[in-house]
Amino acid sequence: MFGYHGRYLRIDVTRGSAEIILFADSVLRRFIGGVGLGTWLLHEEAPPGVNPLAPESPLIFCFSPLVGTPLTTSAKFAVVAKSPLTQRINDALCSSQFAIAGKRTGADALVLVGRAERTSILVIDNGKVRLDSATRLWGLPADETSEILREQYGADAAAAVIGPAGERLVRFATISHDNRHAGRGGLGAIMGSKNIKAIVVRGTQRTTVADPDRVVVAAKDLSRRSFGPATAKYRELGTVSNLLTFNRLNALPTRNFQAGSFEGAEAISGETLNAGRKVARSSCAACTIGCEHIYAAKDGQGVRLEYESLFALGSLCGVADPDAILAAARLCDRLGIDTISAGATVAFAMECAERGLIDAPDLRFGNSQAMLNLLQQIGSREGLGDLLAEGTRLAAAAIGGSAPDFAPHVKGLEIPGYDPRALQTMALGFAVGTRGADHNRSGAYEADFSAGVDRRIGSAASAIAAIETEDRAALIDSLILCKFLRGVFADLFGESAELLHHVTGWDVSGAELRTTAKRIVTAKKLFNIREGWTAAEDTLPQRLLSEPLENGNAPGASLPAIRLQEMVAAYYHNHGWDAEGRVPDDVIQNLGLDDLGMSSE
Amino acid sequence: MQSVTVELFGIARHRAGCSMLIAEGRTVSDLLRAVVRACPRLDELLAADGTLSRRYLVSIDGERFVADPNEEIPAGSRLLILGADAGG
Repeated sequence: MFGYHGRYLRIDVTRGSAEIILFADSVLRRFIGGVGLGTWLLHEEAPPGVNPLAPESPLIFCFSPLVGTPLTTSAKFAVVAKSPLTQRINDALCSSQFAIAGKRTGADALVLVGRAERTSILVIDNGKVRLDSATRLWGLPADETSEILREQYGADAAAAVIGPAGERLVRFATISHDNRHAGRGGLGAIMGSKNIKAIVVRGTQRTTVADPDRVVVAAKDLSRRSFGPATAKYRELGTVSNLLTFNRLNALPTRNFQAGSFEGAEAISGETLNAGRKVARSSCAACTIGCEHIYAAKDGQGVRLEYESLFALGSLCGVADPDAILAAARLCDRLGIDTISAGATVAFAMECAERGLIDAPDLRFGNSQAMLNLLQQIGSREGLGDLLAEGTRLAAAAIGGSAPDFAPHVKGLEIPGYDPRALQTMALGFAVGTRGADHNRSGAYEADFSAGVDRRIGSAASAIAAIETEDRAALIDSLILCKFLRGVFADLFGESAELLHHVTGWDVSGAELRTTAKRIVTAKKLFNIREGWTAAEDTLPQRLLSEPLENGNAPGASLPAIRLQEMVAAYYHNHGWDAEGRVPDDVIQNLGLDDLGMSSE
Repeated sequence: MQSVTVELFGIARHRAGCSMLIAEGRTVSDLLRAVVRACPRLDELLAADGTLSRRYLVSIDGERFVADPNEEIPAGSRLLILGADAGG
């Protein structure tokens, strides 16, 4: 077997023991790795209706056949579980050494179940597991935890950790490795619920590839292309350069989606940050793009900042102070909380306070100190932070009144930095996404940023575009490669088939991978159906369906509910699903999901 | 001929070294050629066959994106040039 070990490690952290479970070749062929294989494992390992924070709830770390090869951006891993924020499938990706070291433990995936008796470090050393005490780490920020573990376990080990937020079961807590995060959906809370502060992996077991010479040639070619114009933005500017573009298009979520442009945009723009505060650029292991741009906070500490953090802690909260945004981003990293959900939750709370729905006199849009204070409270579940640590959906339900109408989430997952009214293919992508409002599993904004659709008037054409981007994302997330590489491929499915062939020896085609992508998207859908999903969840917050987006003297944008419903209906139809979004048996069979035990029940 | 304000964003702005310029032209391709003359580092705006490069997006007034380089610019409109990977 090439590219794989052919097995996963099922680790019971209650007992501190592990068993090796073999993968059938057909499973690996049909789900590949990463998100795909993780989704299959979730079907296998999660009891129906499981409470995500219960001991029985599995937390899955999944590698891929490309991990450990010289292919650029391949050092990635997926973390898959049932989310405590959405109660639906959540798959998040993270990068760097943990993927490589994790796969070298001798497993293609690690599945954690149970709950450790005491706060623990789970150590997986060449396939052998043990629980070390985490007493002296519990309560420490994620970065300090990582540093201590590096000293304790050595340079050949890698660690995935949670911060204080994960320990306190904040529903949007992250799992962090080397200050990169498996960020969305509260996976850190699951790890915290198992009393696991860190997972340390180390090993010497490597897989081999089917055609080493061709893999090297392909790797050199991919690296060469990764230095080209398709990745220039990520390399030279970083995603922070999105902010002024979105602002100009009136698509920049501002003050909890009350507006699409922000008067403070220039002050916090990527251009301003790059001119005055950039201090370094770095990259994940095995990556030639180098998209990580580091900026100096006021205290001189370097902070990595992406567009999503910039908008969420900036325009969404009405904050026009770049120093405050950098401080907030760093605080989120240390606490171990998702910056998108954190910023959106703060913005939501600001609006609640301004409307008098909660008693918080200092909590106003633009008050950066109040934002920083509230983030700390959320991370430690103190005061108002305890309620907000539940996420905007649950917080809004508890607050009552009009709060649910403007809580900025889909299925409980807070909305990323794209105003759906101004980017209506993305609106559809958000509404139907299996993990909630998601710009990564759906790249539907690519259609909005093209001449192919009218971005402010969604239509059935939006559905076809949304499906295409979901399929592409499912493939990339299962191979696993970085989405910032997507522009170098002229034929993603065909070229990926070649890469996979060189690594695994499979006689695989682009057409087969198209089916694989659809299978993975459908498998995620089937998990959600199993866990109680209904079509009523495939929608957007009431604010976005009833309040038009003004744009000064220029035409605004609105997204009536009926239009979204028509787009969702077209999305279901183009998938071959019924009018209620359920997957018919013939579709399940055609995708080869029935003999893997999946159904629409 | 008309004078049109051209706004630049993202990698286009970075390459041009400026956020805005005035160009003369009637069609999108007229204006893009004018921009390239003014900012040689943007020489990829138009492909060799005169079509719009897939590396960039062109919008009229930020309201809609343009696919046809022969499209005429309405009087008083602005042209926006941004990188094709404007999201992500």
